[in-house]
Amino acid sequence: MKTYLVGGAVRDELLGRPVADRDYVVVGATPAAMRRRGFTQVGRDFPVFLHPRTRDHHVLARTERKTGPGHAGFVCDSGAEVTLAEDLARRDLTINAMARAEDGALVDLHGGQADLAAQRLRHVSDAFAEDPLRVFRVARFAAQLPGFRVADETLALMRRMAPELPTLAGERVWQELARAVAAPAPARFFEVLQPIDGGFWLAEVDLPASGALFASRRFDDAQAGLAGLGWTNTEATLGAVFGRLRAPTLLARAAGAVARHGGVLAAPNPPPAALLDALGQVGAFRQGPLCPLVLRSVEACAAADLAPLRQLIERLRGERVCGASGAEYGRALRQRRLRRVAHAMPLRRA
Amino acid sequence: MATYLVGDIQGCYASLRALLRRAGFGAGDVLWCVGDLVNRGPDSLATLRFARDLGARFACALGNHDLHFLAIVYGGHRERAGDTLTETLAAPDCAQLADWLRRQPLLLETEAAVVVHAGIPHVWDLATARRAAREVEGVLRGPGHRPFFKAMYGDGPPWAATLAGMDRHRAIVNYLTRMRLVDSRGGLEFAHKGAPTAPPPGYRPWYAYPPQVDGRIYFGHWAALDGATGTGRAVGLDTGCVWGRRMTLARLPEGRTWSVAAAARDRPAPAAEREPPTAP
Repeated sequence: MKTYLVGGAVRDELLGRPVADRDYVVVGATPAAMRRRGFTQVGRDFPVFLHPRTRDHHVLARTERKTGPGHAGFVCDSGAEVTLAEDLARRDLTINAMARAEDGALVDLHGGQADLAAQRLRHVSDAFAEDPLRVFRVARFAAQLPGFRVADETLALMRRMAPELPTLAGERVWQELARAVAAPAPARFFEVLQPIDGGFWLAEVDLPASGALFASRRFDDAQAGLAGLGWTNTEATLGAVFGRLRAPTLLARAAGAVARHGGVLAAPNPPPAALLDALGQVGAFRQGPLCPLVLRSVEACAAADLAPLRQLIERLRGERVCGASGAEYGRALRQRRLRRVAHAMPLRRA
Repeated sequence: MATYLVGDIQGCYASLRALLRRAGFGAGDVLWCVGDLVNRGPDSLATLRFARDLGARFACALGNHDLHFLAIVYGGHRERAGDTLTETLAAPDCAQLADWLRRQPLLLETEAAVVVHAGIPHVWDLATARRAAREVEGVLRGPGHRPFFKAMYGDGPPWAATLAGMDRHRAIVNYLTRMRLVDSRGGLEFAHKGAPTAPPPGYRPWYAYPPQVDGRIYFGHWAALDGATGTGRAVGLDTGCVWGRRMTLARLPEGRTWSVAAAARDRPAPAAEREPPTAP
């Protein structure tokens, strides 16, 4: 039985980048042998074993055979007779298809090191085409490894995979989008997909404009970046796309709010009623994450310091009306808030 | 307290003060301007100081001449023939005035009206126009204002949502501060400055297209119109004071207007008596 460090950990070590997760492949073992060695078995589709001490993921070397369309139509064979070479051959990109043996020797059967040196994202074999999610994975890698270009032959293969993209589950595509937006160069995700997605998952998204948005701005966090898609796309567009991707409701609402209200929230001197309505619609007077998220996103999109607006929101939340109830209370509270907003204009900006 | 909106001032300070007296502009009132506070007229410096000293009671939508002044201060550009900015550029408080001016917006709003210097193209709805304005305002306020002003001049490329970086900012500035005639897809024509009676084929005034913006748009920039747009949705306030005609002021929200004839000091001298143009 032999154990190899594989995938992203080997790649990131060679790149001199911090390694987050260490995944291992075990060759010549059976599930029973793993359990005997003290590994805990988790996972349903194929067995993953957790190392008794480090909890690192260990999987048995396996091959995959495509049996149906889409991302899930696979039969996995894993057994003591599957070789490391067979396991590496089913992987997506050459830079992700290297392994390191326990004695430190590098196993590089597909030119992964050369592609790392050339900063090239190149597929391992035509089996790449069996999983359409890999189109989005490659785009995401392009965002995570900013200097890397997608090899021409890989790009051509990805184009041929376009008809299969609709078979994917929206959540999986969303995950890749979310990871790309959290990466150092989200613009590359949109650039790579532009000639490929061909009008399904991101059909209505203005890909070049979205790429440009991320090329020129720095978002505090991935959520703010995803909501920032509202800055370059319309509310209706994003409603359709985020729905298809089964995006979390919070993000769908935040992106819509950025599209519709972003220009008012970032304005130095907006009309008081328009600002108050916008604040109401982004939930500024309720608890919850929507308003802070929208403000973080708009702050980056407009390169505006919204601290004065946040202070104003705090004061508006503190407004109370005495001796009124029901609809009358609502009207009176709005009048007080309107006066307070008007009084605060123009908002001072750093 | 009322908000008054004045057309292009262009350094016609004497006319501005006369107009404010005529309209009864008082200590609690707010003055907004459709932009072009400076240049061509005689008293840009006094105009800037007056506006700045109004503090929170003043705001303007930046105009092309305002940006030109800032491009000289921050972008290394020179005065051009016909500019009258020398006094302002040499003033001890020039740096403070420029710093104050670059923090003014490109698009201002009241509940019922939008104020921009040149106009809002029919290819934009209000949410898009606001976001576009906010983007460039962020650049002008921020650490990138010097490179922006260095690279600001240029007619193209035309607006597309896909534009990035300087091309995008320039396209936004061209729409909001330089636009007069536009084609059906949003392309701009920069050469034509006269009345829109005989526009080049394929071009119409920006306000002649079905608008996507509800409410009234106040603008300046186009003195040859003399305010005549033929539609109540777009109100032109540049009535050519710096060319010896009138300066116009509207009170918001109802839109009542006042005008005064250009003060003697603000009228252009006959061509022979003008200062020799500065080298560009």
